[in-house]
Amino acid sequence: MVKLIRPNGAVILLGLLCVLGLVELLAAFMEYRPNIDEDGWDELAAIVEQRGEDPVIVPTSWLSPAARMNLAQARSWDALAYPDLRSFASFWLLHHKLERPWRGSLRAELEGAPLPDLVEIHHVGRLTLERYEQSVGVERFDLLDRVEAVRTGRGPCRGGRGMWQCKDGRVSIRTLEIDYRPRRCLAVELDDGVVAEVELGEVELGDRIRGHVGFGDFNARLRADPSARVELLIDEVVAARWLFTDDQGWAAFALATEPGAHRVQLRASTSVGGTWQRDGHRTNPTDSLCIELRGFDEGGDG
Amino acid sequence: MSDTPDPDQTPDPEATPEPEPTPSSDDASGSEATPSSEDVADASGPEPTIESGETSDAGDTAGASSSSDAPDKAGSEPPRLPSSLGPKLPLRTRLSQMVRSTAFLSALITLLTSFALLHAEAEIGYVRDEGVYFEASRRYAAWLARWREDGSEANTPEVRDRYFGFNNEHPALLKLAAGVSARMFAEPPSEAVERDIAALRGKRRRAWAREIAVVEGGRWPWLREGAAMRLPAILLAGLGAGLLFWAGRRLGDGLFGGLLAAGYFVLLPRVAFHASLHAFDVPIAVMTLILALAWLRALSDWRWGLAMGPLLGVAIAVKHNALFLGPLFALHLWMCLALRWLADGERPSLARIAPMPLWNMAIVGPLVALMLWPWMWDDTFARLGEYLAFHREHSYYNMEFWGQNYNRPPLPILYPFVMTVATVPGALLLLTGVGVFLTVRTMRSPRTLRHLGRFGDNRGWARAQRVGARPRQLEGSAQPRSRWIAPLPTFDGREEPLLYVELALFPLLLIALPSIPIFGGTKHWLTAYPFFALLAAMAWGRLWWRARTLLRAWPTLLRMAPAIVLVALLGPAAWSTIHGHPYNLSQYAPLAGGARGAAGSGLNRGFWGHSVVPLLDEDDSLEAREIYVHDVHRLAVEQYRREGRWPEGWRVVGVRSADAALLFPEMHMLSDEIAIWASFGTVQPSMLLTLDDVPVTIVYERPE
Repeated sequence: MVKLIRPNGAVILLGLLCVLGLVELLAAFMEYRPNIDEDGWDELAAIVEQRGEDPVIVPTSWLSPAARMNLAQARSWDALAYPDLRSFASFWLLHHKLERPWRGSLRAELEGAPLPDLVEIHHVGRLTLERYEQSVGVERFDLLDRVEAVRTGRGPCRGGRGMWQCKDGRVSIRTLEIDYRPRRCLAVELDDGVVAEVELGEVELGDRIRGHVGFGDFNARLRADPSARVELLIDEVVAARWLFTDDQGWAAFALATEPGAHRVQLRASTSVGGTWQRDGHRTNPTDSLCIELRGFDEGGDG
Repeated sequence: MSDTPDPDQTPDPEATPEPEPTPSSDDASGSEATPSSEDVADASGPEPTIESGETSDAGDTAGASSSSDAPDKAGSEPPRLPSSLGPKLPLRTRLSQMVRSTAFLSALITLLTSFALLHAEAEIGYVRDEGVYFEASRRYAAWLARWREDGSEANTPEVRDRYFGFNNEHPALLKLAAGVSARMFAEPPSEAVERDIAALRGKRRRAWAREIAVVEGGRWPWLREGAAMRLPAILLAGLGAGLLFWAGRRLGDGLFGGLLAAGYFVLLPRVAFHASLHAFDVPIAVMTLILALAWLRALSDWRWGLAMGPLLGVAIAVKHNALFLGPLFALHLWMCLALRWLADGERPSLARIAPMPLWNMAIVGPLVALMLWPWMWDDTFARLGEYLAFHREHSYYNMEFWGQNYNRPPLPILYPFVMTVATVPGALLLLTGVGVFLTVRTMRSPRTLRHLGRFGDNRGWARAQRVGARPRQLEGSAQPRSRWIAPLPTFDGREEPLLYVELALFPLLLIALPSIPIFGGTKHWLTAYPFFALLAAMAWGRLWWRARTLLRAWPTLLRMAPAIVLVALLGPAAWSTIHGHPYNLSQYAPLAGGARGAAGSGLNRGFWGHSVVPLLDEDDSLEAREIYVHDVHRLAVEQYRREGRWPEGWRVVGVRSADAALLFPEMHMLSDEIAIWASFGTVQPSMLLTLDDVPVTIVYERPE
């Protein structure tokens, strides 16, 4: 140890400290400043505008509010609360230059699908705007557009246009926080064990039904351990039944289907709502079961 | 400068012979026209009479910095000549000496730090906790005023509890100090307060509100009420900087060592932020520093041993972190005794294992703490139990770490260490690491560090022996024996660094424990940072002492280099803090990429809902309206209103009826943002407050 700080060692160490300090000063010069200004946002808006309605997805969470403020294409539910990346034949990705977006949670949104093709790239300030294209199946239906009626064991629920009031709670089309991401879904908030029967009517099916289930929000998840049972009925026959827990985040499910017109119904229920506290069970806050379902004609093995 | 070899310095078997170092780097950089005190001392010849002045000075911390033992000590406090021995110095020289004295410079740094913090605090919004503490401070000070007027009538449990029942989960001392400060320096509250009181129903309710509100303002209304209440904590932060300079100058071998220690602490963005608040985190860090310095004295001086109990009581009355200090000091003493036992076979007696300072802390400390907390004066044991249970079973906060939101233990063990690396510049941490390394070295060979000065050698025995004092001077001053009242009368070099390492590591290790509740951010181990700074100062002194031997062939380089390296070391922290103001709770070190890099890595962006001040100042940017304020505490809003800073037209409402909404982004706050989107029917913010593009506050406005 003494040898480590012999005079030449001390000089070297002091030199290292000085160099490290200077590197930090340089890093401060680089980092302690905005990376994009108003003109930069205008430039980005002009680029995005050329491609019409392609959503702008912002995987960099701190960048998202500024993107929503400046880019109309970053404000749609498609861009903000999409179920997965399977929905888009083409889309924009806006991220910080140093970020590798496909290494993070965005990769999980592909759910095993191949990486989309990068077709355009623009650098504005220290931001990077990339345009991707991918071959996706033809979307045949979306649960959120097709709910005809909702009922529970105590009778039909009243309402429509995205909100149904039931005797045991409510069912609605909402955006919820699932696993710290916004998701647009059918939110089922009924009493414990009550089954929501969602009627989609006659639906033109493709060869796949894909969907997701999750629980919102974080506070309800914190001290609860609910499970959800989801059944899909095609032509009044149970075609599939899934069981999910709140630890699964935004859990995906899929089912091969026979193309053509079929009557589709969905049944969903949760086990025990509310939260468990030191003083026992409380009904509030309670979890919200969040379901998303779409039919695709993928034309292959899927 | 004497070249007399140190007779007390036994050769280190690992050390290679070296030429004697040249004068201090700091001295080299500041060539004075007037003769320094050291020059004067040298002029008096090799006679070690200068020692007599310090030998009698129990308070002199430059105890071991003799001219022979540490020729590089020129930059530290000059030794004083007894007036009878030296020639009468010219006024200019004496003034120059005074200006360069450690005491003067420490006081100057204390003042400058306090002024800087006070000047900048207005831009820092009131954090959630502050809102509560402001209200508590008003109530506590109201009780003091009533006690002053009514005497014992105000000192009944019923009356006391009415004032001190509010926010009784934290001790009262700092809130009392803030309340008193407000009654001295606060401007009168805005007219809105009078209107609110007048609108209250019931004469008694109005009288109570008026008593708490202090509508007449302070005696000398120089400051906003919030600033007046922040003043005690700011002054303590200034004192912390001054003390660090004082100790760092000795440890760090001169002026630059002192500047490094003080700058290390106060220039950290998180420290600068918390130092500006009416909160307990920086005050308890400073109290820990004070206690640590006092403890080093108490090991050899019974008078400081007597002071330990009251000092610990004051620290506990600031914040509960101090409850750990007694056991930590005991552990430190026992480690020192064990090391001596291992090295020298010096078996410690029971009196040294359980000496007076420890008993004093154990008995007097809690009593003083209770005395300073009127809430505890009645039903003491039950309330004490509630207090301890509150902190033991503290509810969990949400904390984002590497993209995960944690809201129940365990937090990853790495959390405090990663956050420290991410928020403290790397060069400073490296220097602290060298300090820790040197301390480890002292475990095996304590004399490694002795030239840097020792603490607590207030009898000057070892020092006098080292410099070869005449037998007459040593008569009757044989090496003091350890006693119950002074268990370590002389230090062997490892006591001080060992204590600093212990106090630097403990807060981080405590937070890293898997069973510890999730409290929150870096503020919970700010108590470690003064000791990071002292370890860095110690390493600084040691490195330059060694380097000077090599560099004296290049005097220009030797003169310039310390200043350049000091700027390189403190520059990033200073830049970070100045740039991050007033959002330093969201600031990160340059190598972590600043706020942007940290947000990209999934580290917490801030909390406490404080970043609103620009919105208040630019009230024309948000028209008068119903506003949802998200994480801003209603008592913080009340404080802005009291000071006339809250825009007149703003009324705080829930998100459903609001037409403007604030959102303070944290990972777990997404549900609140979604609620705003749902209520307002838009996801487009109308305004962002950012730190390097990273939003600290998002403003939404309901579309027309």
